[in-house]
Order: sequence, then C-alpha cells, then structure tokens
Amino acid sequence: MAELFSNLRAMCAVSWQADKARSIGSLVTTALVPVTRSLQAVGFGLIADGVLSGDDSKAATGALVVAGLTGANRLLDWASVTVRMRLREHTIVLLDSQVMSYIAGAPGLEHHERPEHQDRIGMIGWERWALNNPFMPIAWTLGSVVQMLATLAVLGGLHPLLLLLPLAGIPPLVIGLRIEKLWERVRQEHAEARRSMALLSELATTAPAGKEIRVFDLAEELERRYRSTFEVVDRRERSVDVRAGLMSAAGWGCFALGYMAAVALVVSRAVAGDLSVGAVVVTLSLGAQVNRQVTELVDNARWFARTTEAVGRYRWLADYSARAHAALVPADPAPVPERLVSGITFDGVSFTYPGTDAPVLEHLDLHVPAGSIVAIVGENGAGKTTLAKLLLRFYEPTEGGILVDGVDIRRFDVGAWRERLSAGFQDFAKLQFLARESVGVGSLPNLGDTVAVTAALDRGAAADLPARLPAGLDTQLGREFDGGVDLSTGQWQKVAVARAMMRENPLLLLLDEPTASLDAATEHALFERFAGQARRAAERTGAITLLVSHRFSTVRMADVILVIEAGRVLERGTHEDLMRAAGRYAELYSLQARSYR
Amino acid sequence: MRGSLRLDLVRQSARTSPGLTALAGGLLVASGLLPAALNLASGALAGAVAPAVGQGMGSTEGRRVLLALGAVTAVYVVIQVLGPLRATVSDMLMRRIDGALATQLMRAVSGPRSIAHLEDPLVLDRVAQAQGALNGHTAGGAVTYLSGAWAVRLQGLAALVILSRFRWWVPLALGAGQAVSFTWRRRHWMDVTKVVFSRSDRLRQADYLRRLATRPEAAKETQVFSLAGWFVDRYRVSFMDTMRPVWRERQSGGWAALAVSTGLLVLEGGALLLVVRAGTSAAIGVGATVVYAQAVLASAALGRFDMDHLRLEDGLAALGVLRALEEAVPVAVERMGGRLPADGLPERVIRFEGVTFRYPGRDENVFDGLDLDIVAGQSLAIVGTNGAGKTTLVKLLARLYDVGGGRITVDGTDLRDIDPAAWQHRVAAIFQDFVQYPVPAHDNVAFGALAHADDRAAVETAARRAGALDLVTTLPKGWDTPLSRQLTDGADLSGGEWQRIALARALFAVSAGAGVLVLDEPTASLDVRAETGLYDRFLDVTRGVTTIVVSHRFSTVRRAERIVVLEHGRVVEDGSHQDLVAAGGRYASMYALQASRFWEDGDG
Repeated sequence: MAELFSNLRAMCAVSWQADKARSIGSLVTTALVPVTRSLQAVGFGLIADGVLSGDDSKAATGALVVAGLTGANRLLDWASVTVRMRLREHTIVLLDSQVMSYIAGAPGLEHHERPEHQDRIGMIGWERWALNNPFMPIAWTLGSVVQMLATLAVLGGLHPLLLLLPLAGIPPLVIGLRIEKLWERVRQEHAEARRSMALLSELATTAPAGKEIRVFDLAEELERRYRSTFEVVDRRERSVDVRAGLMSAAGWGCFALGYMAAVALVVSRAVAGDLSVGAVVVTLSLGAQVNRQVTELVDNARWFARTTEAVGRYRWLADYSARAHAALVPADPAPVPERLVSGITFDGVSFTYPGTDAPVLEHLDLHVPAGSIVAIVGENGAGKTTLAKLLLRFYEPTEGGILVDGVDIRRFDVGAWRERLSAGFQDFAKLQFLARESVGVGSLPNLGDTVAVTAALDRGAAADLPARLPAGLDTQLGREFDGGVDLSTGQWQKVAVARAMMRENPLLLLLDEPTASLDAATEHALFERFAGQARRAAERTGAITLLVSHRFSTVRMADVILVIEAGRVLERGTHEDLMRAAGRYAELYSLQARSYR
Repeated sequence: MRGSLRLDLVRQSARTSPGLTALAGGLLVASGLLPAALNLASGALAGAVAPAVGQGMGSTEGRRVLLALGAVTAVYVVIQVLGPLRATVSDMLMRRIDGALATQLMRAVSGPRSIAHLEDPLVLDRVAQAQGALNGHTAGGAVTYLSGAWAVRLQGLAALVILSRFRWWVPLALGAGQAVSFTWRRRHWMDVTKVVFSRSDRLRQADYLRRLATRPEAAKETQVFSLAGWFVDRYRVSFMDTMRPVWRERQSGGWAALAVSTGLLVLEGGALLLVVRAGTSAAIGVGATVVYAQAVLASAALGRFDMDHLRLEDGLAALGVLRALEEAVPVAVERMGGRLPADGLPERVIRFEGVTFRYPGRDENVFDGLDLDIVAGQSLAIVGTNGAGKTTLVKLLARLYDVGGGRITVDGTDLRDIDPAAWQHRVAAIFQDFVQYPVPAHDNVAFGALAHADDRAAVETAARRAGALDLVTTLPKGWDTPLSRQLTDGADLSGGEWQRIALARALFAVSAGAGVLVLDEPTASLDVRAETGLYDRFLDVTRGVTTIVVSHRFSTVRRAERIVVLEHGRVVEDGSHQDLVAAGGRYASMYALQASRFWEDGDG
C-alpha cells in the first residue's frame, strides 16, 4: 500500500512537472464529467413527479436540467479529451527525455551489459505506452469517487439503507484484482516466449537477416517457429481468459443482484406510499451510472495494480542513474592534468564484471610511459577490451587503482576526464545524422565547425568520403530517413574513426580494433597518420595512444607491446624484444606472418 | 476506404476464428439492444408503480409491479454478466488476430526473393506501423474497438426506434443532429492526423534519437563523447517540431465544438420538453414519459466520437498498411520472375555481361558495364577499396537484386529466367552482417540446409571445419544451448565465436549440396589462431565448390585460385596471386602494404 502511494506520488510529480495548468485542467474536467451524469437522475425524478402531479413547470425544469447537464457533459468531455491528449504528449516528452538521460547519461556500461538490467530497460521502452498518461487513472478514480458520493447522497436521501449499496461493488472489485494478479503471473511466465516471438518476427522483417533467409530458404521455418510458440502462449492465455471472464461475470452478477435489491426496496416503499414514483425513476436511472462508476473503479484498480510494476521499473532506473552518478563523485577531487609527465599506471588492478564470479583481471600491474604508443595483444577473452573499459571509466576496478601521473583517476570528475580522451571501437555506432554531425559529435563544441570536421576526416584517413556522398558533408546518412544514403561497413567505420579524431588534444587516444572493416590502403594510411600524430601529440601533451588489436602488422610499430593473457601481463617490450624472447608474442606473430609468405 | 477496412477486419476475424467471431457478433447485438430493453422495462416498472400505490404487492396492480421488477432485474443482470464475457471474447479474438496477422506480415515481407523492399525506409516504416510499433495500436485491438463502436451505434439506433413511437420526426431530427456531430468530430480528427502524417519524418527522427539513447549499440560513444544531453535536446526539438502544428490544428476545433454542442443542446432540450409536455398533458403515461426521455439521451450515443474511435482508426490503419504490403508481394514476386530449374548449376561458368546497377533511390551507378567470369568449381577472391561494390556484386550474384542493365548468365542461361528460389537454394553465403539466430546452437548451423537438419554428424563436421566445434562443446547444454542471453539457459557468444557459427552454417549448406559458396569478410572478428586455422583449411573447404571470397585480409585472399581487383565498379586486375604480384599493379601494392611489415624482419 505504501508502495502504491509513493508510486502514485511519483506519477503525479511527472505530470505536474510536464504541464501544471493541464494537470489541473485534466483533473477538473475529468472529475466533473461523471458528476454531470449523476445529477441527470435528479432531473429524471423531477420529470416523473411533475408528470404524475401534472405540474408543468416542475416537469419542464426537470427536462431542462437533464438537457443542460447533457450539453455540459458533452462540452466537458471534449475539453477533457483535448486537454488530456496534450498533457499526454507533454508527459511523454518529459518521460522519454528523463529515461533517455537516465540511460544514456548514467556513467558506466553496467546497465547496458547486464542481462537483467537490459530486460528491465527493454520493458520500460514498451511500457511508455502505458506510462505516458499517469495522471488519467488518478483523475478517473477521483471522478468515480466524487460521482459515487453524489450518487450516494441522492440515494441516501431516498432511504438510509441504500447507503449500503457500495458493498455490492466489493465482489467485482476483489475479483478484478485477483484477475489482475493472475494475468501478471501469466505475463511473466510468457515474457520469454513473447521475446522470442519478437526476435523471430524481427528476423523476417529486417534487411541483414533478409539476405540469409532467402539464401537458406528459412522464411517458412521462422514462421513455423513463431506459430508454434504463439500457439503454446495462446492456449494457456485462452484458458486464463475463460477463467477470468467467468469469475468477473460472477462478480458483476452479484453486483447486479445487489443493485436490484435496492430498486426492489425503493419500489416496495413507493407502493407502500412512503416514496414517490419519482424516487423509483431516480433509482432506476442511476442504475446505469452506478454500474459505470464501479466498472471504472475496478478498471482503475486493475490499472494501478498493473502499472505498479512499470512505475517500479521507471523508478528503479531513476534511482540507478542517480546512484551511478553519485558513486563516481570523488571524495577527494583532483584536476585532470594539462599534460602527462610520468604516464598511466595500473596498480594491482583486479576486476570482475558485476553479476559474475570469474575475475577478468587479477592484480594487474603495468606502467604506460607518457608519450608512447602502446599496443595490447592477446587472444579472445584475455581481458584487452576490459582494460580499455576501465581506462574509459565504463567500469571501476574492483581492487587496486589506475593512476595518471600518480593521481588515481577516481579523483577526477568523470566528465572532465573523458573530455581529455577519445576512443574508437570495433563495434562502432552508425549514427544516422548528417555526415558532418555523425563525425562532429566527437567534439560537441566543434559540431558546426566545417574546418574541424574536415580536419578530423583527414586525420581519420577519410578525407575522400564527402566527395563520394551526393550532398557532401550535408548528406543524411543511413536508410532510416528520407533521402538517407547507406554506407558500406568500411565507410561507416571511417566515419567512426574520424569521430574519434574530433578532439584535438586528448591525453589518451584509445583504439579498440578500429580497422577490422577497412581496406588495406586505408588501414595503412590511417596508421601512418596515427603514428605521426601520436608523436606530435606526445611532444605537446605527453599523450598516450593505446591500440587494442590482433593485426600484428599494425601492432609491431608500437613503442611498447603488452601481451595480455588471463587477465595478466604475460610479456612486455618492443617488437624486437618480444621476437627475441620467442614467447607467446613470437608464436602468434609467426602464425599470422606465415599467411603472408 | 475505411469502410472496406472494417469489413476486411470482420472477414479476417471470421477466417481466423469463426466460432469466436460469431460469439462476439452475438454479444455485440445483445449489448446493443439490451439497454433499450432495460429502458422499456424500467418505463414499465415506473408506469406500474403509480397505480399500485397503496394497493400492496398482493393486488393485481402489485403483481404487475413485481412482474415489471422481475423483468428489469433479469435484463440488468444479463447486461452486467455479458459485459465481462464480451471483454473475454474480444481479448481472445484480439490475440488470435494479432497472431495471425503477425505471421501474415512475416510472410508478406519475406515473400519476395529480392531484398530491395527491406532496404527501403518507406517499407520499413510500414512494417513498423503494421506491427503497431509506432503507437501501440494493432489490427487485433481494432476488433475490440470496432465491436464497441458498433454496439454503441446499435444502442443509439434502438433509442431512435423507441422514439419513433412518440413522433416520427423526432428521431429523424435527433439522428441528423447526432450524425452531424459525429461527422464533424471525425473529420476534425482526420485533419489532425493528416498533420501528424505530414511530419512523420521528424517524428521518426525523434524516435530514432530515443532508441539511440536507450539501447546499447551506441552506448560507448555516447559516454566517451558525452552525447546524452545532445540526444535529449535534439529529441525534444524533433518532437516539438512535429507537435506544434498538430496542437494548432487541434485547438482550431474549439469554436466548432461549441457550435455543434449548442446545436445538439437545442435539439435535445426541445425533444425533452416535447416529451415532458406530452406527459403533463396526460397524452402519455409516466412510464412512457420516462422511456422517451431516456431514449432522447441514449440517442447521443450516435454522435459520440471518443478515444475508442481514435484507437479504432489507428488499428484499422495498421491493417490497411499490412494489406498494402501483402498486395505488393505478388507484384514483387512477379517482377522477379524465372521458372527454369537450377539443379546442379553452375556447371561451367557464371558470367557478368556488361552489368549496370544502381540502388533504388540513388543517383550514381555502383556498376557501369561490369564484365566478369566466375568459373565453376574454382575459388575467386574479390578485393577493392571500401565502397568499390564488392558486397553489391555478391547481392546480385545471389539474386537479392536484379541487374539494371546487361545480364548475368549461369552456364549461358540468363539468371532472370531461372527460378529465383531455386537459384538462391544453390547459394550458401555468410555476409558481413551475418545473422545471430536466437535458437539452439545446432539449429544455428542446421539452418544452412533445413532439409538435412537431422544429420547431426554433418552438422558436427561443418562446425569442425569452421573451427566452431570446441566452442560448442564448452556451452552449458552443448548443441542444445540457445544462442541468446535473452532465453533461458541461453549463452552469449563473442563476435569471433558467432562468426565461426555463421561459417559453419554456410559450410553445412555446401555439404548438403549448395554449389556456390559466398564468404563476405569471413574473418573480420576472428583471432589469430582461428584466422590461421581457417586459412590452413581454406583449400580443403572450398575444393570443387564455386567459391567467392570478399576480404581485405590478403592472407585469405591469396589462397584463392583467382583474384580480381574491383575499382569504381569495374574489374581492373585479374589473375592468380603470383600473377598479380608479378604484374606490380594495384593488387601488388595493396598486398605489399599489408605484408611488408611481416617481411621486414627475417625472423617474422
């Protein structure tokens, strides 16, 4: 219950923050609509009594009351829908913006890489349709309660026993909540089957998979699997549907009998002469209203029950993001140095991914001198990428620390530290913006600076790219948008490398397999430039270039080569040193070199 | 058009689940007529009470009251019980229809043998809309709203029928007024919708930014370059740009709404006064007065256009889009014709003759007179700079697109005359963006040749040759492990591991009889050992199979029996590794760039 209220408060806060005037407006209009409906019954009572007593003006008053309330109801309804839609749109922008900043802004990758977090975030994406109007059920509930009170006031005036009528609403309410719990269980049971159906349908409707599906003739098989999963889900949900329908019908049957007992009471009093015929008419015409109120209450109760989970997930995300930010606020802040003097040191660094048991790095000690080009090699799963992730502060070491000129990087402000580094990745992002933007976002302050973007393309050995695009730098990239031009994988990678070149004076340039899809000439040109640039940068700021690769033709030109195996530095030295040592490096190098002889 | 969609929806419903549809129809009629019955019974009860006052329930008049009370009770209870049953039937029907339509969509989209439509943003948009991904409204959901809308209309019509017994022209006047109200509100909504659609590109941009910020694909760059705030700002701008004119349009309906409401108020107020006057002048009894007054109000159901109607329109739009996609399929299938069998092809040669090609919607040609012979049973490597058209060549070869000009022949037969499905069956391919199927490891390999899926030994052999066998044996449930961490007991593979699985799939297809093997960058994610292992087995793997390798890694390329260099959509060099190195052209210099670093030292 306490959780329900705090969730409600959180939802109201979102709506309030999105649009104060319309929050109030939607509350008032939505609450008033049902009241106008209830009061119509009083008009009907007047009509009946007026007709029976032959009182023209009483009956006419009744008619005008009914007509006026109907008109008011119609206008209020229109206003309420209009206000609600607008509020809903304001709310969805706000919720989306919040969710976007929570997810994209939370430092670290844990929420992107842990399956259980990914599950939750995926669900939040779907639930935006349910959550986008958190205020409405509250307004509706309020309206129902107000109307219930108005109805009870009318009925109670006829006979005090009628005040017991709300009791008849208990069976449908209780049953409604039980049904909701039942469905929540079924939904969880079927979450995986539904996910697998979504994955299968995605395969059939997207281009990359489209190629293989045709070549291997898989369309029918995918459809068959979709159908068979669907049938299993449907069979179970159908039985739940039938059960829930019967339960609910029984509940509503109880309510109907309860209400009819009230009608019988009023009728018998009227026949006895204690109540007017008008009272019978009032009670009867309220019948439909009372039913509607109880329906809405039951629906809203079910809605609350259903969205508790959704709101819970949304709040979890807000909380996660806040904690992720707070965890990185340094207790003893230090400024990021202007230039590197000594270098970067891993001091007994151990690391285990959250939610797993096996350590990826164990007591890793290594020093990277300022101004050097360092290559990290090792087989799949050795921990190369993890090392890069720790330097970028996507994760924090579980033990030990990373020192920059003797200062633990945890003492830097994350933003300030990241501003002084740049990175390119093998699984780079294909950002579907204008070409200038897709490169330029590598340094937001210089986003609109054509000279800076051109220079970055040049540094990334992609100077020829704009000339091959129909509108040059102003070409929309990607097929997602009208007039967008899709690039080949290699061209996308050039854009990503150029993006990493946007920052001009980084202390650390981190390249995690950035050339996997590049052709030989580009790869060569790129490394020539890298090397030259790295040396110049090294002279100015002592910058370090760190390269993760298993292309030994590239690796060998580094100043220092580190061979990582099972989370430790196995070998270290220049290419010549390591070849002489005839260890793991020499073995892997020879393996690859053999292919070129 | 919308009208025919409604009918289409009903027909789809009847096809998908005849029993449930009939049941839903019956319940719809019942819930449309029962409120009128309740009104009549209530009127009878009110009319019966007055004469019975003071007579007691035992009297004749009292018995009449009891009878009427019984009738009211019966109708009311039935109404209450039918409500949830209707919801249940709607729910079951919705799920069945959405399930059926989802498979129909899959069939429609995967039907054409070409993939041109899958790379067309307009089609992708439609697919998303048909799936209800844009606004959460599906065609199945429309069934619920349609039956609701029809039930409400039936209720209004029943009320008009009751009123016709009072004065014949009253229902006509009221009906006309309500029709005007309904039509106006619907038109207004359509105008608003049109504005939304005219801005759909901006809306798609907003959606793209939202996905970019919330999904892992761009997470690393987002963090390194601090892009979160920028994404959010752009999202807001795109969204607001879309919505501002929509809001203007919506608000412009305010005065009209007031006018329509006032008109209806006059009509309903007049009708009510007329009914009441008839009552007080004793022309009709109190029961009839109440019945007619209630009927005047109930007729308002005909003028109502509410959220449910909006959802109905959205759901019907999803159905319309699906139908458009389905209609496009036979056209696309026909356009990519050809009936000749492909058994045993190619025996001699696949020949590109003056082939020109450009992607739909692009201005420049990828190929402009490409000539190339691919000799059957040989291995051919294609090299070239980024964007030279290597992957496009492979797509044409697999007939995922048809050529624009010139022709491709297989043993002399134009590829366009060969049944595309049969030809594609001859091709085994792994593309750069190969698929990671969320199914068990065994199926991931067996998908290469479904007809032979039971041949576990052959699946294992293919895996061994692709270097994937060891990794499968380390999986928690071996071959039965689903390869998706989103599934129970599922395992997540690394990029290199996935590549080996994909390679195994293509090799399995070859072992099952595919005659052409296409490898588009097969080693990009492999580590040194796996890469070297593959080179060592390359000749063995491709022996006797027409093989086309696209790669930047000359270590792979040089093993091919023949190599062509592609530049600006043409073949500029052609020969064996030794020939091309000796010729000292483009290939030689590209090869030297990569290999020279291994030559510099004698020990390497």
